[in-house]
Amino acid sequence: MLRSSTSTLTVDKLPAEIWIMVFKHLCSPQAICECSKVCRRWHVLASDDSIWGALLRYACVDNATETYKIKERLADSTDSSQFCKNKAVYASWHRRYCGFTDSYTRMRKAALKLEGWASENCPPLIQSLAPGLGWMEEETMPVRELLGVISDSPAMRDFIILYHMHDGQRRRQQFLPYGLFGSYECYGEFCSLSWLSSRMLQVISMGNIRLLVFAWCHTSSNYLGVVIDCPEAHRNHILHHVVQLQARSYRFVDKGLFGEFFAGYVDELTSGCHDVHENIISMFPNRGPHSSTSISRGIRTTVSAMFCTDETPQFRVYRYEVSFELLDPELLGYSSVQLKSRRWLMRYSNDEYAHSGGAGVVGEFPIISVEEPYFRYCSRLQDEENSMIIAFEGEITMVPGTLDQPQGPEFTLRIPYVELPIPLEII
Amino acid sequence: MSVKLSSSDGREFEVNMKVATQSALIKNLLYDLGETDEAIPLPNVNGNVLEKIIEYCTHHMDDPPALNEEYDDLPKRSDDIEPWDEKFIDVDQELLFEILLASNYMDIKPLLDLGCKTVANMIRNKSAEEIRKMFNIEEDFTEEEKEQIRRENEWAEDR
Repeated sequence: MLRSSTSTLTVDKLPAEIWIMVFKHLCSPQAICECSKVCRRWHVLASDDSIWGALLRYACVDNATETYKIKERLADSTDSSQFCKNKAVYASWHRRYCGFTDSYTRMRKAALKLEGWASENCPPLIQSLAPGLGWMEEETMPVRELLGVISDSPAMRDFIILYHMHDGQRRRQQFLPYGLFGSYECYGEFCSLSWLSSRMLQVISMGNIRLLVFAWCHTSSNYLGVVIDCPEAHRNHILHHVVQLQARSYRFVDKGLFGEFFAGYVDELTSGCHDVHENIISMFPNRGPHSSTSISRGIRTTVSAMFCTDETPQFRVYRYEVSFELLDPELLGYSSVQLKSRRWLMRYSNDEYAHSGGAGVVGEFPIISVEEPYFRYCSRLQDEENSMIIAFEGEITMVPGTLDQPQGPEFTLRIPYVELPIPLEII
Repeated sequence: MSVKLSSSDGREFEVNMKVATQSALIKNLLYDLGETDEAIPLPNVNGNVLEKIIEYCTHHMDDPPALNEEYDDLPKRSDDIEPWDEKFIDVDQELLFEILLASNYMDIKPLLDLGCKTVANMIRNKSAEEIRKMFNIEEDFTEEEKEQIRRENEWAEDR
């Protein structure tokens, strides 16, 4: 008995600031609410504005909007000393997004990050983003209509919430090249994957798989879609995953669950994995498993490969991009070099390999110089009859000065080994 | 170089400078006082607790300084306690609270964090009733207040 009375004293001895710190460490609104049911003192402490302010920031809640939603209740209760604004805002937000709060936090963080990045690096992209759909209580409830199309599953909540942040990209003529999911140009074919607004979402079937297409290119029929239905045997592997595909060939690349895919893609953009030139985002990542880089003679050579538009059902076709950037003219020793020829070594799944090569690249003989330090091009490669291509590497021969007026002995730049992202097939 | 610290019950401890200056309070005092042979009095900390705190600061004296977190008031993770720290803080409730008080007073941020995390982990996943029992707290709500508080927190139960 004596022992317990001293412990009571000990609990009371801790000042408010320490309890508030402890409650912040709980980091869980449920646990903090439970604390407020313990006793009068804890009820006051656990309702502290600084705790709920931190939770609001942690959950990435749009404080201005949510405060506006409860403005009448706030006006009624300003005299009440018991009333804690931040907890009321949090509770109202939690009620409004019941079941969607985790998705809200994840997708709002990604959306804010994207907006911040794009306003610096790609202003037309920002202009193309449409305002988000209204949430449940609005008269028209567009999000609920969207829910009718998609089964409400935990994995699809990220998808729905993201349309509440932005209703895709506006498809006006001036925005078409600025696809959020990147662009490439290959032999005059321009492909840009823009993010579709909710009105443009389409369900397509490929064999016994149903896909909700949320990004596509109007010229190359390249798609990004979410698998919304598939045979039982595949459910664990691809249901609600994002796939990149070309409808004619039944081949696709799995990009993971929607929420992780989108947040991961935004992280790629903000960490500079996709070059941006003239406000156009390159679809090819400049790092990652299907790209590699070498630096020699002050020139950085980056190669990146991607499975995309697939013209023939027989062969897998890949696009790859090679870029050259002159980083250090002193190391190069010349003020310009001109590309003379290329040599490729292709590796196949049956352990065979093949050489190919020729003059120039994509019919060009680019000059890389102090004035024009950057050149990139995109080309394609594909399977051979009876053998599947799995990787390639190569060499580029450069001539100092120009081909007509060489200023020194030619040298080679190595294009390092790259494994191709081999697509899966719908059987 | 060493510094003398004296506890509320008059015990004196001579410790390495690197140990003592993990307390921002002592660091600032030393900065103001300059070098001193006098023992620095810590009237709010008794000998047993000070001994424990010195044990912590000695173990951590070569730690790199903590990074300045961007949002200082964000809730932090509570599941990343090092094994040594976990063993160190595995003490009875009274001593745990004494350590919390003392680290708050002496301004030793990592120890304060460790104490808060430990208490938070004790509270987590417990009902209000279990918390009252654990800390021996008396429920002092009226029936009306209880009903009001239940309604006020209803929302948190819907996930």
